[in-house]
Amino acid sequence: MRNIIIVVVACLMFFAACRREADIQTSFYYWKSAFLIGNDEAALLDSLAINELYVKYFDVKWNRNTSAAEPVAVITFPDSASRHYAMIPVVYITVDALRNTPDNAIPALAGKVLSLIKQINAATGVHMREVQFDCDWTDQTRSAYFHLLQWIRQHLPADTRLSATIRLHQVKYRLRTGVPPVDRGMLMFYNMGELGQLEGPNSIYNAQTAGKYVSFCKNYPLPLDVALPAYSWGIHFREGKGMGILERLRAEELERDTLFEKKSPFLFQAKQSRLLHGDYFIMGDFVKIETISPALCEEAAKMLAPDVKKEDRKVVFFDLDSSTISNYTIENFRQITDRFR
Amino acid sequence: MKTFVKLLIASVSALVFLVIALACAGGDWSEEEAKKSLFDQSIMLDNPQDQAYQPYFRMITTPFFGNPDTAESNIAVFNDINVHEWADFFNKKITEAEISTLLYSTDLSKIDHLIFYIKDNAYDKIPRELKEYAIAKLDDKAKAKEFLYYLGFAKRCEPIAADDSGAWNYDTEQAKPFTAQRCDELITGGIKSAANVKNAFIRERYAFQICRLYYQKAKVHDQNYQACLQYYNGVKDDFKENKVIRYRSMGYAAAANFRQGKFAEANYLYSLMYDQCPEMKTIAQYSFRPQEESDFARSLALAKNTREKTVLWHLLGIYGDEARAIREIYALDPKSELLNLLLVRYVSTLEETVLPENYQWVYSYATDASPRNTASIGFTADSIHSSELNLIRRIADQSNTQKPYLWDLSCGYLYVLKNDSKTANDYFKKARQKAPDKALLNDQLHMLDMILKINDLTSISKGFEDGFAKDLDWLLNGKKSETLSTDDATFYIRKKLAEKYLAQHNEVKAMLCLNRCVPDFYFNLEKMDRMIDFLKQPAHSDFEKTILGLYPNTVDHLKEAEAILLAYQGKTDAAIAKMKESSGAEKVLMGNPFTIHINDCHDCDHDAPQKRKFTKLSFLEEIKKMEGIVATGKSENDYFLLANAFYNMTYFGNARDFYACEATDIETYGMFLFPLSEDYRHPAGKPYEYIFDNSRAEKYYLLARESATNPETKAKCTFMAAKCEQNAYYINKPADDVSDFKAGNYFAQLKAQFSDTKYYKEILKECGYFRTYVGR
Repeated sequence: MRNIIIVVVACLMFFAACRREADIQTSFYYWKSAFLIGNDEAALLDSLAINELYVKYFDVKWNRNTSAAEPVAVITFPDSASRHYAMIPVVYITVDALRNTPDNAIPALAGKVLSLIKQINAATGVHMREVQFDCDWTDQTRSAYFHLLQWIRQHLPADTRLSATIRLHQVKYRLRTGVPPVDRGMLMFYNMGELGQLEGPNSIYNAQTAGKYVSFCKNYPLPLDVALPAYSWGIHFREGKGMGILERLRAEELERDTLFEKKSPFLFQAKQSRLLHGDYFIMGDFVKIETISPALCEEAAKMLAPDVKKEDRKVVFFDLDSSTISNYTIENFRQITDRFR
Repeated sequence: MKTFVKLLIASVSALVFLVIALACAGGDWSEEEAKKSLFDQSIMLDNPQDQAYQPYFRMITTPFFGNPDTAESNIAVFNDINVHEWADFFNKKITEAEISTLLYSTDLSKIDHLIFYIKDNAYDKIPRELKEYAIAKLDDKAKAKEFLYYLGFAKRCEPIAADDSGAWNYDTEQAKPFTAQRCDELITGGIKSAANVKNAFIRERYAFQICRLYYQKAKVHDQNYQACLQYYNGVKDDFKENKVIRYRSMGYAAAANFRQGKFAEANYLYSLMYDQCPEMKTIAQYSFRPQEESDFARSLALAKNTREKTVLWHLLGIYGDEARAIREIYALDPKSELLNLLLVRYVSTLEETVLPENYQWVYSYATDASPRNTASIGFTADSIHSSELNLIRRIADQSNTQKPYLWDLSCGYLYVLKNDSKTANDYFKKARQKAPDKALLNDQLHMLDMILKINDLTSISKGFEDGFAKDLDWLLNGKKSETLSTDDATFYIRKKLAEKYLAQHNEVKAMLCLNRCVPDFYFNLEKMDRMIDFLKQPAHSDFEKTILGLYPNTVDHLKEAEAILLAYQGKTDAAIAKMKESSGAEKVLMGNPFTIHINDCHDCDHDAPQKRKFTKLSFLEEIKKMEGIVATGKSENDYFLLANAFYNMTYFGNARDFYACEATDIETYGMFLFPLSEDYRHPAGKPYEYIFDNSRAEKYYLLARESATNPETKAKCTFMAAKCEQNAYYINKPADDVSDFKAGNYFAQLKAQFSDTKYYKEILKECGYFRTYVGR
C-alpha cells in the first residue's frame, strides 16, 4: 500500500477553544503485579482526592517456546484494596508479540486480551470506563497494533473509552508511526534519553531532549492526557555499556553498601566483583542513579504545559510506590498538576 | 535494589522500565540484539558430551531479556520422557504409542474399565477397543494394576500440577484451579498408595506426585513450603529407579527452598540438577539465582566434593562472572570440562566490548550510507585489559586443561583484539599443534588469519590482492563448517578493504567491496562512468572477480541512474540517450506525469484511467518534444505541461517512480529516504536533494503564466507556483518548526490579483491552507 503524505495542501480543522479553566485530574499508574496499597499510599491518594488509578493488568509477551503471545505478570489482588479505587486497566504489549503474530491472528489475540481484562474486572468488581494499551509500536508493527486496537474498539461498549500511550518519538514522527485509532492518547513525557549512556544526561527526563520534542505535542491529533515521571532507577553499566535496570534504586541504598564507591552524586562504581541482592557486579562496573526529584518533575510539567492544548485532562504520575511518594509531598503533586490548569 | 529485569520474567513491562538506545525519545529498549562475533563458541564442541553446554553459549548482547521461559510451567516437555520410561518399565511389551495414549489421552473412566477388566476378565462393560490394549492382556496383572492405579492417581493430580499461569485465564480466589482440601485428599491418598505399592518404580512416582502436590498447595493456598521440604527430605534417598523423576522432585524442593528465602539450599539443589540430569539442565541453570555472597558461600559449604563445588562455580560464572569462576575451577580441577563453556563465554563477552557498537546492525544495513556506517572500525592495544588477558594466557601457557588448544586459540584471539598480530599468531600456531584435526577449528583460525592480514595491511597492492584472492573467495563462497558464522568477519573484512581503498583514492574498488561507502557515488556521473568502465573491462583478476561478486549493480543499473541524474540536470537529450542504453527505459510510470490538481493525491493519479501510459523513456521523449515546442514559440499549455512534468518527477509529484532505480535504491514512499533510513533533513541526504527541488517546476509555471492571457489560467499557474513555494518552505524549514505551511508571495498574488476568478473560488474550497491564509 502506498503511503501518501500530502505535504502541500492539507485540510486543517480548527477547534475553537472555549475559555474556561480546564478540569485537571490527578492520578497514578500502578505498575506492580500485586495490587497492594500501603497506608502511606492510601493517605496520599486520599489527600489528593484520587479514587481512580491506572493499573497495569498484565503484559503480552511472545513466548518463543510455545510460539504464541501470552499474558505475563498478570496482576493479583491479595487483599480488598482494589475495592476502594476505580481502576483503569492498562495492558502492555511487547513489540515482539506483535511482530510475531500473523495478521490474521490479530483478532484472536485481541479477543483473548479483552477476555482476560474482563475476567480480571469481574473478579475485582471493576466497572470499566476506560481501558489503556501501552506499546512502543514502530512503523513495522503499526498495522498489527492498530488492527488490534480497532478490534478492541469495536468490541468495547460505546461508553468505554479506549486510550493508548504515546511516546515522544511517536508524536514527533507521527507521519511515520501513525496515530493509533483510539479515543485518547496518554503522552508519556519521560524516557527521553539514551539509556545506554553512562556520561549522558538523565534519561528519564532532561530539558534539552524534551525541548526537541515538546513543540510537536500541540498538533497531535488526539486529545492527550499526560503522564509525568516521579520515579528513580539505577542503570548498571559495564565497560560503558548498559547492562540492565535496577528498578526503583536510590542513591541512599548504594551509599549503605561497601561494594560501591561514590564517584558523583549519581554515579557509583563497584570496588570488587560480587553479588548484591541477586545482581552480580564486576569490579569497575558503574551504577548510574537517575532520580526525578519533585523540582525536576515540576520542571517537566512547566515545559510541557504550554505545548499541549488547554483541555480537560488527567495528569498521571508514574508510578505509585512507597519509594516514589516518600520523596514527594502532597503539595508537590498539587503544584505539578496545577501547571496544566 | 529490588529486581533486575534480566531475571524477572514477570517484569517485561515497559511503560517505564525499558528505554531505547536510539536517537529518538520515549522508545522502549529492544528486547534482543543478535550476538556479534568473530569467534565461534562452537569451537569447544569437539566431542559429543560437550553438546550439553551449547544452550549456554552467550547469544545476545543485551542481557535484559532472553532467558528461556521456565520449563517448570511447561510439564509437557516431560511427556516423551515419561513415555520412554514406562515403555522400559514394561520391557517394551507395551508400545510407546499405547503408553502415550494411556498417559495423555485416555480418560479416567476408561482407566477404571481397564482395572475392572484386569481384575475380572468377565467384566463386560469394558468398551471393546480397550480389550485390545496390550495392558489389558499383560501376563503380570499385578504390575498392570499397579500401573493403572497410579495412572488414575496421576490423572487426578494433573489439574493441580498443570500450572496455568501463562494462559489466558484469570485465577481468582473463587476460581482457583483446586481447593486446599482437594490437595490434602490426594496427598493422603497418595501417601497411602505409595506405602502399599510393591513396585519401587511406581512408588517413586507417587512420591514425586506428592512432592508436587505439597508445592502447588503451598503456592496457591497456604505458603506452607516447609511441608513440601519435609516430605521431600523423607523420601529423597528412595529415588533409585527413575532418574528424571528424582530430579524433578528435587526441583520442587529447590523451588520450595527458594520461596522460603533459603537461597543456599535452593541453589545447591539446582547445581546438582544442572550437573546430573540433562533433562533438567536448562531449568536448573535458569533457576540458579544466588542473591548474596554469603548465601553462595553456604551453597559451596553444602557441596560434598570438588565436582559439586566446581559446578556451583560454573553456574556462578554463567550467572555473572566467568573470570572468577574460571580462576576458582582451575584451582580446584584444571582438567574440569566445566571450564570450556566459561572460557568461550568469557571471550565472547570480552569481544563484545571491543567490536564496534551496533556492529551487527551495521552489517545488516551495510548498504546504508549514513555517517554511522562510514566511521572507521578497528582494534587497539588497550581494547583488552591486561588482567583479563593474563588470566587466559596463564592457563594457556600451563597447557594442563582438558582442551589446551581452546585456551591457545582464545588467547590468540584476545591478542587479535589487542591488535598484536605477532603474539596472536604465536598462539594460533600452538593451537594448531595441539588441536585435534577439526574442520571448525581450522576454519575459525583461517578466518582470524584473514583478519590479522587485513589489520596488518598498510596499503593494498596488486600483490596483496593476488595473495588474498583465494582467502576472500573461501570466506565468501567456499565450503566452511556449518556452525561457523562468517557474517561479522565478512563485514569487518569488507569494511576494512573499503577503508583502505578509499585512502588510496580508489573509489571503484571501495564500492565493490562495500556498496555505498561513497555516499554520493550514484549522484555523480564521472564516478559512475568509472565504475562502468571497470565493469566493462574485458578481463578481471581473481581478486577483482571475487569483489565483483559482492557488487549488486550492473552496467544496466548504472546507465539508468545516469539517465535519471541527467534528466534532473535538465539535459534531456543526454538523458534519453543513456536511458535507451538501459532496461530502465521500459519501466512504466504509475500515473500520468503531465497532470496536476489542487491537492496532490498520488494514489488518485495512479488509479485514474490513463489513455496513454508513459515509460521512463517515453516520458523523457515527451518532455523533449514539448521543450522543442516552447523553444520555437511561446505555448502556455506546453509550459504548463512541462511544469507539471518537472513537478511530478520530484518527491511531491505522482511520478516518484521515475527516480526509483536499483542503484540508488531510493524509497518512493513515506518521508524517509531509504537507503538513508533517516529523514530527509539528515546531512547524508545531500546528494538526494534534487528529488525535493521544485524550482524548475516553479520557473515553468511562471513562464506558463507569462504566456497565458486568460486570468483563469494565470490564477491556476500562480497557485501551482505557490505549491512549489510551499514545498521549498516545508523542506527547508528547521526541524523544530512545527507549522505546516507558510504563506508566501504567490498566496498574496492570488489574493490581490485573482480573487474574482472561478479558479480562486475552487482553491478556496479545496485548499485548507489557502482558506486559512485568506481568513486571517
